[in-house]
Amino acid sequence: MRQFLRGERHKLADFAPLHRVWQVELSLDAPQFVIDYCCLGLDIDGHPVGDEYLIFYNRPDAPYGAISLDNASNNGALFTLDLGNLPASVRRLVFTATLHRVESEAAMINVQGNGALADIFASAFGLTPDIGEGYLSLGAGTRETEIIEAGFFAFSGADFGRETTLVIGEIGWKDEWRFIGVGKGLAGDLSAFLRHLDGGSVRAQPVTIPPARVLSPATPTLAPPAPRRTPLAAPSPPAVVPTVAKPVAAAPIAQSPPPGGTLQDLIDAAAPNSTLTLMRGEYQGPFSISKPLTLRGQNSALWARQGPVVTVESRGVALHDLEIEVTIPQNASGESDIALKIVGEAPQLHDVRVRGRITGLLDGEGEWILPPALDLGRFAARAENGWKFELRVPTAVQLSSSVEGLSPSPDHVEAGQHQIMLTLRDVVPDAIIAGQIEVRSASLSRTIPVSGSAAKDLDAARAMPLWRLPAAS
Amino acid sequence: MATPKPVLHATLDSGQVIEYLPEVIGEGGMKVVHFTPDRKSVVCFFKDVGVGADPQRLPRLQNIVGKYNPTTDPKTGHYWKDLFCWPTAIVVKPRLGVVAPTYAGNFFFASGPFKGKEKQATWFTSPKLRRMLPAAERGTWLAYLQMSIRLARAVRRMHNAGLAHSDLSNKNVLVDPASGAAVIIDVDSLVVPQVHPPDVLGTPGYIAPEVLGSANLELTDPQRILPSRRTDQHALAVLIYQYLLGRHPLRGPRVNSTQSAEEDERMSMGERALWIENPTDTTNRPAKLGVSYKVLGPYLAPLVERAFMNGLHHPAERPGADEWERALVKTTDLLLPCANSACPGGWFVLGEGAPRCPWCRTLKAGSFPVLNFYRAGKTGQFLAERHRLAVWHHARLYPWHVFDNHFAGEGADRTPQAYFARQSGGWWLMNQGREAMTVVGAAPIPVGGGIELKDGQQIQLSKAQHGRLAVVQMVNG
Repeated sequence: MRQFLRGERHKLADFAPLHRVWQVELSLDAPQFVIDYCCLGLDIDGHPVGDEYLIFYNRPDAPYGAISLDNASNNGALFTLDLGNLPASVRRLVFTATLHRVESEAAMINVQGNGALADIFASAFGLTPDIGEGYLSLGAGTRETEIIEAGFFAFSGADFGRETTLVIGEIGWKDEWRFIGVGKGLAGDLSAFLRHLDGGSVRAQPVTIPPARVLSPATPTLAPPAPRRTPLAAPSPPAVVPTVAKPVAAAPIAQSPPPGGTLQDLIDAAAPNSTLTLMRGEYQGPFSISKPLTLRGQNSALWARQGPVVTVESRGVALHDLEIEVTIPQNASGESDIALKIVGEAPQLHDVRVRGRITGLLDGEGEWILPPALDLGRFAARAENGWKFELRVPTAVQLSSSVEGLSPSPDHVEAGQHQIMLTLRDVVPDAIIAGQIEVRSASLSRTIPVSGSAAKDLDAARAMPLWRLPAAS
Repeated sequence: MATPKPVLHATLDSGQVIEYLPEVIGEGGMKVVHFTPDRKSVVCFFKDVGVGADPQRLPRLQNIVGKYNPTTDPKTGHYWKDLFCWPTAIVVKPRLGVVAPTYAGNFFFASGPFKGKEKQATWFTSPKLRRMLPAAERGTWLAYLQMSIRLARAVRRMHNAGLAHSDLSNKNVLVDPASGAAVIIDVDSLVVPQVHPPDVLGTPGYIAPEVLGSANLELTDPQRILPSRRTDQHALAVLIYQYLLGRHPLRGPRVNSTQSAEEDERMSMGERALWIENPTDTTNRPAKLGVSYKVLGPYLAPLVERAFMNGLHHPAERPGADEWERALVKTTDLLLPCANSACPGGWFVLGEGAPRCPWCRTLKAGSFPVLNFYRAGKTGQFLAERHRLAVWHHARLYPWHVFDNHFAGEGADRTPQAYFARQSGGWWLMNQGREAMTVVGAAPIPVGGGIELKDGQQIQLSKAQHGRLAVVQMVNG
């Protein structure tokens, strides 16, 4: 998911060109405070339009369903916007959070701008300002239909020095609707913010300043922050690098096979001791490297239906950021299930993932017995499912999964035969899982494809066996 | 020596003088129309001299020609020029008027009994009139779906800009079923809520029930309901229903007043309007209804229900033009060609049941693939979209199929990414994109390569961000 930076402007149409219903979710981790989240409709000049477009816990709906507030709590708020139902007078929607300090479980004092946020964070219950992290996430659609996630804007309490009202973001009209990550603090509560907007002038459409929310007794002062729906750290990198890799200074230009040619032609034409940098993509082999050469991929895949896919026959070979895959290894005979064959000196390997057998490598040779694939089948949606499988490795390995929510346990095993538990949590109904389990040794990684689909009304799998080592092994 | 044709002169609000021919080539309720000598444009003068005296009229026209004009957009203007006959200039002398481009030639009948006439939808949606047309003019059902998409897209563009047409009807939308083209004309009466009020109530049959129901009130009465985006949404639904099913959604056998035909029409299209396919009140259902609206498939049928059940008398419930556009575009992915070469429709929507053409009742023989699309969710997880693609010989995959953040709208990249082919009894997908497609648990599909489709295959159409996963389902005819 995209992370919005402060001050960046994004056209909503770039994310979902036809959606007029959008969701803005706000969250701020500050359990020692009462937080009022607000969406305020302004006109083109930045003046409040009227009470009915000041949406907060006590007035959760604007006319014609143009803005509605759900799930308002100390942990966050969800605003649903129907931009098509906003009157022409409303051309900006500003999202704010105002903090009020809590003195006891049943009472609280509005800080009214006389305490800086950083100070309050620091002094209240031993918290430090950097705990006050928060985010605004933006998506098109509704939960009833489907939501296209546009991105999120993250901030932290440390971003706000001496303020108690945080202007988090804004959706504004300039020829079309755009989102702007603001991340700006203002001293004082929402009333001060409204006065700031109005420039102190008396307007025809006075806006009633909402009183601070009375803390619900159900929110214990010292309750731990609720788990965040979206991680506040930078989003995990996409599964693959962008289509065109960023040029790196002094790096060789990525090469594609010439028209009608193959990667083998490029390898054959390359000078000894040179570096061949590949574009991201799939290259069909088999390939043979018989000279000192560095082959640098960008998550590039070298594959063949029959092995060996890559044969290294020279010293001085280095392989970087590559997937080497033999695609039909089942019931293979001879060398046809070999992904990487090394004749002589072992090449340098960095971030190389292999699916298939390896021969000639110190820790690669020996009893590597991995499942060819793991089919989780249909499993229970929105539940914790568990499976188990066996493997045998000749060296210590780390196990990890490329599928979010799917975790192998243990994630580190020594040489020998092992049973691995797989746990998968909270997958939505009808979703499909498609990824891999990575088994990483000191020199390279092997991958096991994993797939399955989530379905409603199924019992959760409990340590269901997926694959066993052959009896003879 | 031939006498040169006389020409008249008109002055634009920019001060420029243009020529026009004295013959009146058309006349409507509000305007008379003349050709320019090159016949590439028309000059339309308002008939009512009072229009010129209206101080709001000139600024309104200036806004329509200027800031509301989608055809001048540097990126997409060329696209909108095909969908709107948008005024290009304002005439101030000898009378107030506008200059507009001449309709493209394909919007006039080239042969048959209506040769030279404008192609209004009426000729094509009335079964009686349709039978009189040359076969080449009738078009396939695919063309009617394309016309509907273009109309919905054009209305969506107007509504997104805060404008309402106020008089969408079969007269103000010209269509060409031979090519699937549609163009909105008469956009000089656009309504801007709270700025420019409507001139007209609309055209009978397309006026929203609430407008007709309050037509007896004074214009200043707050209860009086005037044309707006909501009433455009009603007219749009009526037009789409007519294009796709060839009948009016409200004109049935029920008589709502015996006082006069006018009163019956006012009631039947107004406060007592009832959808002819209303499942709970069948009093307006024709004895021979024809095919049910359900043949429109899983995306359009629910919108039809909303438009003509709850939305008929509750304007806020009506589907927006954007919803229609999205449902129509997704419906094209469910189209299958009819095996019967004499079928009047030629194409039909794959529904939940057997793949049987509703226009000729021919059952599609043999098995064929359907791709079920999943969009990327969390890493390694793909979420169901309820978006399917029915595969036929030489059907294609486009970027809006491969990526979940592309939409087949006005700015879409239309470069084919793959095509399907039936060969030696099997169905093949051939990759025409710029990167290999990966098949879960099998060999990837390199650029230029192909794969025979099998039930249950999972194909990651792109590994780039927003790349979709497609799951193959073999359907038996």
